[in-house]
Amino acid sequence: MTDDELVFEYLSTDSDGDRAHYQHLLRERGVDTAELDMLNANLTDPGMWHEPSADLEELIMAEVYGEGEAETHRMEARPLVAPTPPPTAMGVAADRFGADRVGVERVAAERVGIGVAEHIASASSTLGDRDQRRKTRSPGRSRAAFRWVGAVAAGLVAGIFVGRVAFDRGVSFDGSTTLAATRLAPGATGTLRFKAEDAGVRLQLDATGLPEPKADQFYAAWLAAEGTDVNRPDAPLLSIGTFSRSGQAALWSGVTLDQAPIVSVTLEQRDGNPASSGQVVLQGRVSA
Amino acid sequence: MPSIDDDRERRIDALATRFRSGDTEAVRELYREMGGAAYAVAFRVLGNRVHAEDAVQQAFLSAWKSRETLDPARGLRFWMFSIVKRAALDVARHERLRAHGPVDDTIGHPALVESPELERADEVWKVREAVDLLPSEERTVVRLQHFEGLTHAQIADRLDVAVGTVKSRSHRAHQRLAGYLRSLREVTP
Repeated sequence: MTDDELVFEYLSTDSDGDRAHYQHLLRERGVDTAELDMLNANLTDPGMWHEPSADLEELIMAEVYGEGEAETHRMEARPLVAPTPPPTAMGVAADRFGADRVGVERVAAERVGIGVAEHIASASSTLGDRDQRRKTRSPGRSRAAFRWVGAVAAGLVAGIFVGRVAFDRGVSFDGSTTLAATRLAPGATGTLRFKAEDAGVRLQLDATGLPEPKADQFYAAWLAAEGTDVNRPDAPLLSIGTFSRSGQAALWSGVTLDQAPIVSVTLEQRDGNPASSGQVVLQGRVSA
Repeated sequence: MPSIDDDRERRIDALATRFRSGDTEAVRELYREMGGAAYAVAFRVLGNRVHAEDAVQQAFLSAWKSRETLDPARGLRFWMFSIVKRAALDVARHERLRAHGPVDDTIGHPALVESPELERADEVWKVREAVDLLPSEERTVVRLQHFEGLTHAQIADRLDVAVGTVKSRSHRAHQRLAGYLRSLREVTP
């Protein structure tokens, strides 16, 4: 056997005994196996096998085509989606003092509507025809268009919220929290309401602006203990239900929210793997 | 032994020239050639998918904005690797600051800058680039063997092929990987 053949046997064997044997032979021939061991060690790294999100290429291209314009829009929209709001300050107060609820949600809806409009405008400026993207737009006209579309979208979303609040009037939730969007779903937002019951916690998620999942995808909602990094695929999460698109989803938890206050929503593949994909689209924290 | 062919290296050299001259389509091609390697390096540094993607996005945009600093003589691969590593460090610092606040100033923290993960990051880049060049069926076998820890018999069962087929694919794949890595070590510093 040549040195090269021994190297390939050493690298490809699935038997520890054979590997030790080939290593011994290689060392006898003065071949250092450190580099080969490093190759095999690297091949166990998840980073070797994960594929970046399918939309990453388009996000990069959008920024390149936009020459900074897309980035400007994202920065303007960021306050709506980036930081998780202070724990439920508005949401809980609004739910506990029902009279404020419609007003608060209308404000939220207007913000969401503008966010949706920004997202739509940003998407059309980044994913549409490239020549269109290359056109230089007047910032003033661009902002005016955003406001106009934003007002329409805000009206639509506010209508949906007001309608739903009326529908919910008979249900008394204990509180709610607002979920913030991540970079994977800019423009999305969520409100999670909760009610403690004898057997667990009833949860109701109202999500808007989530991308329509592909045929082999769905959304999953999770709870986790304080301090959990929900972006890790191996994070210890408690599934509280699944759903297939934006709208209202009924969820259920068998553990109390003080045990697992971290909320996340992930995009999942229908691949039979019950673990989280780690592709978080919404996240937040509940103060029960 | 299989190696990265001269055609591919010539294509990458031409890509570097187009990228430097401001051809936006060269960004897409660069991402398709090296996006996986960039992600692997960022993931090794950050250990988190979302943060790794942030770093990759930041790196490609930063590369595009500073494309005139690209020296084709030094090579596109090494230039991109340096930018990705810097972007990953930036994201790591940002996340640490966000988690611990400005009191814990980790900018330039030796533990981060001199991390063994960073020292080995160039090897991570090369291995991922080599993995991405494998034919799909060989890549699957290598992934199942090393990442999922399956034996050849278990892989054969999973893929519904003969054990001998798995052994030969694994052998060929590792032969290619060793050859690709040897070539990459020759074309990168």
